[in-house]
Amino acid sequence: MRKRLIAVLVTLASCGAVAATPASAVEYANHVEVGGGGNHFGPYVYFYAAETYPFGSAIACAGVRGVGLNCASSVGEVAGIVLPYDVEAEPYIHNHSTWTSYFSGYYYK
Amino acid sequence: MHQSPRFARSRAGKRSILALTLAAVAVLVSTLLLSASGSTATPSSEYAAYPALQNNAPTELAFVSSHSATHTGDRPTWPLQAPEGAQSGWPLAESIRKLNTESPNMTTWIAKSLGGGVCVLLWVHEPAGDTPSIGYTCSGETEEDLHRGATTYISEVPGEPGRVFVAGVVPSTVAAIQATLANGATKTVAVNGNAWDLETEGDPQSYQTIPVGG
Repeated sequence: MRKRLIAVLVTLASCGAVAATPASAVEYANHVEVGGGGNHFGPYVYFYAAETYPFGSAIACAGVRGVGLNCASSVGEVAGIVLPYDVEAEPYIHNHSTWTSYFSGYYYK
Repeated sequence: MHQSPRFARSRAGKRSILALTLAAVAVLVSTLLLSASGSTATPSSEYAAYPALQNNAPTELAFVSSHSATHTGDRPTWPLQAPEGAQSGWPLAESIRKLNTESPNMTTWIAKSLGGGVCVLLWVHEPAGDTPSIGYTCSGETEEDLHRGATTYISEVPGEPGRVFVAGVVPSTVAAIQATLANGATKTVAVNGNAWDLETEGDPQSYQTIPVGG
């Protein structure tokens, strides 16, 4: 009986761990400088979403190299892109401003 | 008639298992609910100018518990749970509502962000075989940010060079958006249920809101 009880609890704990563990965020760029209209590419990794945070008067875009690019249109807005599955590619920041600005970039895996 | 000690122990054991199972399920459900909800929620009153967030129509968006590498569908998906360590700009799954935008070439949604801002989500209907991605933009959480809304645009769509797809959400005090296009011309787009959208060639230069009664 005790073995059966332990087996049930272990099974439930495993299910709970799998169900309750979401994907996680990785910061690949912290307050990096990007020239007006320029890009900052992250590492070549498996991930499904990328997000860009602007600083100051920057206008941010978040991209997945070879897949897509999404931009905000106003200062201070966060831009992101979510794919339906993991891809092996580079997340990147695009500075949509015409002036040099600073950004942080995240990808989710 | 007396039950045998072994039978009594068996019944007690089953009750214990049942109780522990129920407790474990309760903990699991609580964990899921807590992790799926935002931590720094903006009071509902702050979103009063966005009745689209109360829309109960089907979202027409598939929510998934994990992003499978074997997914082969031609429609986008959205994570049921916010990723661990998600930043303030992450749109919360449970708040996502479909918007009634004009263009047949895109689907749009509104959402609350983890940090208390408002978000617009945009799926441009790519040609078959391309990755169906969702682009999103979220405002900050201040009253001024929420008053401004959020605008997102996608410009690198396979097979549509130069074509730009724009979508935005604004408070219900805004009646229309006047966009200054890449060629300098202006185009006025009506706001319907907090939402507006636009398809054009080249990046628009600016957007101006036209208030209700303005």
